[in-house]
Amino acid sequence: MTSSHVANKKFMSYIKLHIAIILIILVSEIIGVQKFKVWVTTITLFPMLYAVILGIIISPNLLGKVVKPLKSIISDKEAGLASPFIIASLAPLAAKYGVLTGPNVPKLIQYGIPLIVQNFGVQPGCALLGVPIGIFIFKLGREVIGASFDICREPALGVVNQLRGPDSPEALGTLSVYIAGTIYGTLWWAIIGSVLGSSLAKVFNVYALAMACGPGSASMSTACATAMSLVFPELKDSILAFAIASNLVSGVIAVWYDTIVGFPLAEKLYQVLSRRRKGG
Amino acid sequence: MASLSSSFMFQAIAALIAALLSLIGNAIAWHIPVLDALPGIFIIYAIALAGIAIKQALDKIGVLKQIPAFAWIMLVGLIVSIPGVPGADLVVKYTNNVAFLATCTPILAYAGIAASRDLPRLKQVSWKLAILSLFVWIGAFLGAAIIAQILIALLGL
Repeated sequence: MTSSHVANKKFMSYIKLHIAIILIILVSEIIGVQKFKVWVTTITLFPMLYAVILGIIISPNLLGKVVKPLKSIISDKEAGLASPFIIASLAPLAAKYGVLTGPNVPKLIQYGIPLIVQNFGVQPGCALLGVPIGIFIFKLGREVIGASFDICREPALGVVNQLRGPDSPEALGTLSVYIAGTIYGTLWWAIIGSVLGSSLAKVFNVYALAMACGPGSASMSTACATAMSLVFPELKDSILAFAIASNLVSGVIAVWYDTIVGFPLAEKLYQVLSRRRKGG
Repeated sequence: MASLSSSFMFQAIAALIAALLSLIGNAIAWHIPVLDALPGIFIIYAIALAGIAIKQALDKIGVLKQIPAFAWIMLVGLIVSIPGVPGADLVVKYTNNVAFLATCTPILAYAGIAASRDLPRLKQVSWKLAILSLFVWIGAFLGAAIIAQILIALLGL
């Protein structure tokens, strides 16, 4: 009797979660794709971005605090049930990515060398921009190393814990960027994809820019490539195919490349630049 | 809990829910009637199931465990749509009625609700690191784009 009662309650939580999910999708899709011309670039916003923002807003930690009835639909319990659905709901997207990529296989092979090799530019790019800004503008300590040796998703968390331990300042840096990525990473990568995509396309090959959407979680990568594909609609499918192919390669190399190049490079750069800060 | 969410049944049902949810955006934002999209969504779901089954089978045997279901599903979808593979043109034709963006929205709706639990943790993140993260990601993009561009130019592609 009690166990069926518990099962019933759990089932109700799944139903409530999905009522909220359906409402979020409805609102997001009704708003639809929006493009804004800002100076020389274009910012594109699209439903998946509104969905993540709406999901965060209606949570028990934000609007739920103020609007009590909302908490009776989405409480901490329902929010907790959402996590396993994230990975599982990637399945249709993965299949769609597959059927988009198939027709582009000849092109991916043609661009195979840049497609694979550019992934090795990710970690140095993070360090070269992140470490100086962290030291000279934000006056941060060793957290900078952890924050700037990679884009800081799951592989980077593993590497920093392995190298420096979970209580180190480096690990705090990585964890901070990781959390930031979970909250607004998707939105920021969409801005990168549309703003850098539209402004750099005069100098860069669009496929080079599409490949550069590869690092990060599948959502970040997708947000970047989608934003870019809305700027160049005639190349839509190949942009998405290049980005996801690059994402898979970066996932394969992440742990060992972080360990032997990314982290040591960020640390070296930190040592050199922070000496200059103290000396100067 | 972990065992439930990694079971074939859970993943098959959750993937079906996600596939059906993507029909909402497909109809509203991309004006593709649900009936027109059904064959495509069926193919997409079949590809997803095949990929999930491969992942489950490999986990049982204990090989290639580090490769996620996502990659297997994508590989199946890729193979059945390579030009020249029997039926590839039909796969592409029908799945064209399922908009890419419509398949993304459900994932991010779940992700947003789940991410809300990280909001209190964001308070522990210093604002300096929160802003620094934006530059780190720009650096990642530029680092990759510059190398790609140099190689594309060198190879004359």
